[in-house]
Amino acid sequence: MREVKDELHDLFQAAGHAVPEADLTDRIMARVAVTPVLRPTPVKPILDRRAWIAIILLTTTVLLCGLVGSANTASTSGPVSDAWRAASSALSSSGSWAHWLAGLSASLLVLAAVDRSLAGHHRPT
Amino acid sequence: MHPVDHSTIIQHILGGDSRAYAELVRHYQRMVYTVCFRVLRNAQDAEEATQDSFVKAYQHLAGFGGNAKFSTWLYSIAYRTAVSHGRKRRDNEGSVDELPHHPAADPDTSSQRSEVRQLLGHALAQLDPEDASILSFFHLEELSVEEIVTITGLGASNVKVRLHRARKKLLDVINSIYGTEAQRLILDHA
Repeated sequence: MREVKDELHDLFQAAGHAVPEADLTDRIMARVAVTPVLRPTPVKPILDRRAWIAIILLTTTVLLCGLVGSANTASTSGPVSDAWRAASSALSSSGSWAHWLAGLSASLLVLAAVDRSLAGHHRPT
Repeated sequence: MHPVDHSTIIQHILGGDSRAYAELVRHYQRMVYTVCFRVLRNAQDAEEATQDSFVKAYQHLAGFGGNAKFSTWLYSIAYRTAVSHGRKRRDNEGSVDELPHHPAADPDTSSQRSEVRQLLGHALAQLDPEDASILSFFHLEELSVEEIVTITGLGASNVKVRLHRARKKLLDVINSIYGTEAQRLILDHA
């Protein structure tokens, strides 16, 4: 015995498609003739690859300096901690500059990541 | 229907030859019209939705990435356009369901195919338009459940359940209205 699915399949195939008016193609093409093809706007990243690498390096360096510096502050002496202390004292009047720099670098990194990500999403297919 | 080299035609159109689009329109207009007709059940509205679908597809042709089949992409536009037309129509004047036959424009009017089409049209008109469309996608266009999911935006399990229920309801309607006559037509044409 044939399945219901097969019977319906045969029925749909036998009926075929609904038939529109004969001049439908002409009417569509008349509208198409005055319609522009929309081109997706290519969105390029604001920052190029070199700037992206520079920001990553800057962020990494600042964060590493912060980590090494804070670890060495407690220790007695050393060239890195001395340099760190010297730089810190030189800029101490403007507050915790290392935190500002780390924040700025991290923000730049995030903005650059968002920039590239958005450009990737809007890339024309 | 002869096969169409979509990518070549699309390249021509994007290159500025808008007349090349006529080939795609000729190839797909019955299919798109059928999709719109299943949803709207009115020849005039279906033709309007078909025109809008092709114009939208033309406008966004540059965005067609070729990841999906062109037909699936086009059906998706047609289905959404028809649903949107239907919603506007309901908002404006309430539902106007007409008998889904179009004898003036049907070149097969005298043939048995036309009789079967009329029979199926009447029966499908008793179903929810969304269910009728899903049945049509599956049995007429021979699309997979995954393709129907892409077109309609419904979940896969939802599509399967709707297919199952709609099949049952359609057969009930056919049997109750037409009885053995329908059976004869199906068997004669199968």
